[in-house]
Amino acid sequence: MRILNAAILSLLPQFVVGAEVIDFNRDVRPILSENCFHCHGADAAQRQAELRLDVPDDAAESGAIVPGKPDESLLVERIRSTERDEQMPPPDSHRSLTPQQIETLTHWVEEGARYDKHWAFKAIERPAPLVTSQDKWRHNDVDRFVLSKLDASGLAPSPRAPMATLLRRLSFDLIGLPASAEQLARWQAAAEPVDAAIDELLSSPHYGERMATEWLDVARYADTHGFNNDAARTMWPWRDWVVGALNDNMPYDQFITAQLAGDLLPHASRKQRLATGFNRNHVINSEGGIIDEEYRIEYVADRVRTTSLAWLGLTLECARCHDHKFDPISQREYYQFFAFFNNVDETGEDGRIANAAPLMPAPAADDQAQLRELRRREDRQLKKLRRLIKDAASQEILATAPDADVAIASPTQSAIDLFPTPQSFPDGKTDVTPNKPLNSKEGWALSAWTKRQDATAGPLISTMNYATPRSAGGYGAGAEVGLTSKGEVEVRLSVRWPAYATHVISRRVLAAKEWGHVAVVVTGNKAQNVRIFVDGIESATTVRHDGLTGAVAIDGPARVGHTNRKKDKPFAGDIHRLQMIAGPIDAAAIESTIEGEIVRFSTAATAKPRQPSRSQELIANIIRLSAIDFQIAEASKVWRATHAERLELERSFPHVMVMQEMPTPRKTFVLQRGQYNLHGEQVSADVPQSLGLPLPDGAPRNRLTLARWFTDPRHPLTARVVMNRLWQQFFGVGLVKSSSDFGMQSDWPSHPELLDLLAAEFIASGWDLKHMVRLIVESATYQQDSAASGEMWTRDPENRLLARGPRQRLSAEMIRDQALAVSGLLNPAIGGPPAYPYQPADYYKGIVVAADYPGASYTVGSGGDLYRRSLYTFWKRTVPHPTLASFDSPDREFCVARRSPTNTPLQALALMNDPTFLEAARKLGERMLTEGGPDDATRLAWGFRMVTAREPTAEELAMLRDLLAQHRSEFADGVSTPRALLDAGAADRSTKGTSDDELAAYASLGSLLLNLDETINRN
Amino acid sequence: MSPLDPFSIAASRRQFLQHTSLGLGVAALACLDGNSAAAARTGPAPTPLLSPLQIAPRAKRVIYLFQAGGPSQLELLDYKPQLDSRFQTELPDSVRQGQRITGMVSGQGQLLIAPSRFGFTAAPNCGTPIGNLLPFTQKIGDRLCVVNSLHTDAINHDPAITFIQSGSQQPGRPSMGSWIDYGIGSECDNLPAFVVLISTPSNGRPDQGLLSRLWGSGFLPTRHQGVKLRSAGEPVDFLENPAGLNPATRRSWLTTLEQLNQRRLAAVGDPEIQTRIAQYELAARMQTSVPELADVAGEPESTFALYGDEARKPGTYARNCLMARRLAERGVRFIQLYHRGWDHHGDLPNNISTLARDVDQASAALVLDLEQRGLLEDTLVIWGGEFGRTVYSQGAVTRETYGRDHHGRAFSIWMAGGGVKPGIRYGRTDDFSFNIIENPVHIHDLQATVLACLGIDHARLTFAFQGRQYRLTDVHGSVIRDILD
Repeated sequence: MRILNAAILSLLPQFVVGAEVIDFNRDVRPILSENCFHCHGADAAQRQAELRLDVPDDAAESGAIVPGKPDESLLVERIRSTERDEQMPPPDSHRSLTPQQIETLTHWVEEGARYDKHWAFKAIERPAPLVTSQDKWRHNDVDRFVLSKLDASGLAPSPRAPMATLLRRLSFDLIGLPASAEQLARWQAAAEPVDAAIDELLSSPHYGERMATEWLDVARYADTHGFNNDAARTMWPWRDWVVGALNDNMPYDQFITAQLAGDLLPHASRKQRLATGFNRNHVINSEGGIIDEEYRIEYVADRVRTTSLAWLGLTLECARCHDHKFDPISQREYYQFFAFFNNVDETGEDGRIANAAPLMPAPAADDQAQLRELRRREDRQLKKLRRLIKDAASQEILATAPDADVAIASPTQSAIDLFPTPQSFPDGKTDVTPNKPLNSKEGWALSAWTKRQDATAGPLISTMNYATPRSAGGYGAGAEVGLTSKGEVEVRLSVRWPAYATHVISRRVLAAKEWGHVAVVVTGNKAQNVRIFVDGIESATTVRHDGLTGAVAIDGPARVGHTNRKKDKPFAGDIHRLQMIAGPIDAAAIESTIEGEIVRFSTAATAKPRQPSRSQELIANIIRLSAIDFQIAEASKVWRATHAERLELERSFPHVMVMQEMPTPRKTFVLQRGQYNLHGEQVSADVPQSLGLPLPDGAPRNRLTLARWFTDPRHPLTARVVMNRLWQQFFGVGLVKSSSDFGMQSDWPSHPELLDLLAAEFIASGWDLKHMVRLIVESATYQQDSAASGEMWTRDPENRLLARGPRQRLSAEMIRDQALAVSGLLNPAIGGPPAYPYQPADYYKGIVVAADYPGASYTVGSGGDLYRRSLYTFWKRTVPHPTLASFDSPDREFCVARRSPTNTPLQALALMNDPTFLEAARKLGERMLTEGGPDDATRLAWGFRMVTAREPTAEELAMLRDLLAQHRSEFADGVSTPRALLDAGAADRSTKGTSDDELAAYASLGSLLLNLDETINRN
Repeated sequence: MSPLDPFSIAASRRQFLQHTSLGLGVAALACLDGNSAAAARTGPAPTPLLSPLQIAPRAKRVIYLFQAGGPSQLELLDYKPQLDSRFQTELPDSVRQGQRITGMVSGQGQLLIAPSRFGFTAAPNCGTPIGNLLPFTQKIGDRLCVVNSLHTDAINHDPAITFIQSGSQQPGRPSMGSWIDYGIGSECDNLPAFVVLISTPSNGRPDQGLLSRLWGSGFLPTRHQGVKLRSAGEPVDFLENPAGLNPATRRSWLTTLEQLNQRRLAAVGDPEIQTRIAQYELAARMQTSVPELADVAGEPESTFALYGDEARKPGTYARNCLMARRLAERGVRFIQLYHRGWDHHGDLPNNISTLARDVDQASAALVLDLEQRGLLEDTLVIWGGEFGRTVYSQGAVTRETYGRDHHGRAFSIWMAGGGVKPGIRYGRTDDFSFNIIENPVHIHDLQATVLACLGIDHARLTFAFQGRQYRLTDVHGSVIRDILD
């Protein structure tokens, strides 16, 4: 079998034993780990015969290993045995050793059975440069280590790839797009074409997009929540943060810190908080009836898995139910790590129609600019208004203001509009029933005066039902307006608290022990439909929850000043003139009502002991003085319009899910067998001890300390893991092939010193990612020709020895983006909400839940939205986009460190018939006709260059011309009709003078060019 | 030259080398995407590395008639005549034993017994009681192995269906069909090895979504994922050439493409190019074979008499059963049907009557049809959902109507053909169909048994991923030998 030979040959370089000294990590540990540690390793629960082979002293003490004396070692005896009862590993374990492995172990014992710390846990040390052959070939230090290995294998490196091929490779690797004809020409004209290309590509804004794609897989970014209902979520501002951070070449230690703990940084910026969305990208389940705690635990576990895969390269997940079988990580340590991520105030069942709390507003860049401008304007206008009022007061115009006789008596008379009779609430505990039902969908408004005691929270009015068990549906259904302990106004509309609720809090506060006015205007179910006024001035709001799934009615008894939750204390203070009005809401009328209330009160406030608040005073002055001072009337109108505009803009901002610590940390327990409800020992946050880098004494045990630990230059794994993934990005396979596992079971690095060189350089450079990208792509190793002899492909199919350049199939995103680019369709806009390119009609039908959740249907976009780069495609977890999915893009339900490239007939069908590619083929055909030159030969060569960057050979060109001629005659004879080829896609036809047949023939050739194997590979 | 020699077909070359130490997965190499026949044409099958066949295979293929939503065993397959006398009485605590119940009824004060409104009849020749809602199934009772003692760890749809299809409640694992394709490949050289068909209930909108991951390949190479045949539009994504494009035009196009790719192969040497050439050939074959498969015009009237008139309508469960037979005839390895709408929390008697009518005749017809064609002996047919339903009512209970919540601790399925003993019942539940009192069958046991029918030792079908060897049955599962013929 040729297959078998290929396999064995390729493995040989790693298993040469005898000639060189045995290296424990390279030669012995993999055998022990795969075959022995399961029963004789770290997991105490699984351990057999009380024997540990992973600890040298234990192994020696038990007599299993007698260093230097294989014949006296029980281990050697048992692995050599052929008797069923004696043989190790036992036959029923389905594991067995090859004769060569037995030989290796024996040899190792003979040489003294020297153990060594697992290579990946050793400190990173910059290796000394090696002396190698081929000085002329070498570009930088990367190449020394590659050459050294090639020398040892008796191989020579390949020459540099042809320039055009290399420039195309660089363009895809650095920005994910093909180089344009203009770029290729310009670079090739430069003194150093490769340097010119690298410089330009690294500073392109598309660099961040390309680098982000890899990270979005690790960070399991998607536009839906996953699971059964799979509703849409809004996380694209986080995705745009990633693209921006990579474009800005944010030092990678900051990139880690912001995502892990941006919210905990001192004076955290908006962007730093946004970055923590990383740990909220996990799937969220909104299936009715699930057990909240079970899923909340899953979300925390997902954070552990993703964080550890991203920067530790360890499968901590394996220790969730029991001690890790292979790596020195106990179950207790798993839950200590878990504790870092266990302090989010979140609910298991959430995300039915919107994002899950905690949230933060994340405006797009344009909106931010507009917000800043509005703020500046508002400040200016308010200053002017205050100055006018002050001037008016100093001129004693006030004396003539017609207000003095408006008076309010003491606040004992209360009225409830819509409630049967005026009521007073001296003790704040009276229930009322509206005489007309209120409904959140049609809207309602509330106005009330309150005087709260110091630092107490309390409900003004509540219909929330807290009496139903928390686990049951309908818990917390109802509406509530109350004050927080800080004096903020809080509005809750809920069908199930808190996941399916709108929960909004004002930023303005009511002063304690003072009379203040509260107004709430609700015009719908979303948080952006809730407006809050404090002392007559509308307040900006903070959105806690925005997942209300249906209208909330107030149609039964409402509790004034208390709730039906046992732990809630009644409102401490006075409530006065509580009024509610049913919708539809006339905003202007409501605002004048509010003003009326303020005027009445503040004028009465001249009577001691009540002092109007600053806001009350401002509003009262505006109302009084506007009547007599035109300038004040005008200035107040201008200011209030700006104020309202600013708040409306803020309310329209999308919110993203972020990390936020609960004030009181949640307790973390070891969960027996990983079960959510089987609490074992309580633990506190910590890192695995075996990495030899404890947290500093006295440092708070939070995510920020964890981030500092990951980015500690002494950390053995972070830089290695990240650099390995970077290498994998350019070469298809990492230096450590198991890029998600650097533990005991990991593959031995093909070039250990090179990995350490990269890691050390990365840290020394200040975690400069672009510097490292440059180092790799400038190496002679990267720039080699990827062509090789059949013998070399057989000997080293994965190119682990690096005797040739990388040849990788383009990613799903690159394949589509290239088609858009070469056809001139690409819309290069960066960032923003997801795009909806072509997808077969009714593609979700029969799969997606038949409910009206956002994201349950797909409407193909129009115009430029059809041609956005593929990383912006709406990423629905349960039904991934077919154009991308057929080329191995993951569904992003979980973190993925490496896509597995496949080669299937469905890919062929997609490239042949997907409207995405047919439209691109048509436009490429048009471009060949209009831009390609005077005749078929130049046009076909032009098209060929567009997709491969190189000139076709004479033979290739002849084949293309033959097919074109054949197509022409088939279309001319009516064998085939061109209509479908000409109708593909929405883009206009730009060639006027060309016949349908001619254009169709070129479109078919365009399609052929997009289907070439060379086109969909980096060569 | 033939583009189909076994080495060139190795689309999985890189994958293969990643996993050589396992022995398994190599089968998939030679049998890639339905090309074992092609591989066999050019040389001996790579048997030395194969040998996953620890046990003699009884079945060559599986048809899984998945009833999504959780059909009630109490109305269909688990006969509990004693319940009549307990109408509207509280479920005894001794039965519930503090087991968790879903959030949907945990707020409900009482758990009152709802006896089935429908009777049962003993099937001919074997005496297996089968619900009167399934008259056609009753008639083939002597071909069925009814398992009354299946149990699952999950109590909600998403985790439960993910569990029964992938061995784990959490997403991310390969589905059963993907594992089987990975393990033993395909017998068909012009269709995918793993095909999925979806139907919806005749009475309207299903309230549960399906998830592509249910036929996804998880961490296995994506070529092992199920290919969904759609009933409307193109049966396979992007299968059809642009309208008006003559096959001859497509052929000349494909020939030029192959020639250019061959030149590239000669220049670069990467065997992946050879694989790609072969995949374009397979794609072209699928352009013929899939429409031919989907076109039932050649079926005689007797077919529609057998499956029912519904089988004339694309997208119905009956049509999909007919499609399943046509796929089985063509050697497709794993045929996965989904029929949705079994989630009867309320007004169960009406809802289940509709659903039973949707599936009864065609399910039985499929078994008979396979039998008549000599295919039943090597085709394993499985009928069942992700869990069962509770004996107590969700919401009010009357003699006429009641609802049932999810119940994972005991539920029933049936299997037929493919080496499973016909005409038997396996496992027993208590008088409430609540707890299992004899021969429990865990989901992992069912999975192990299905693999065993195909000749695969479930403990050896593994894949190394992120530092661990994974398998369909996790670290559990025992083959239920008592039900194997």
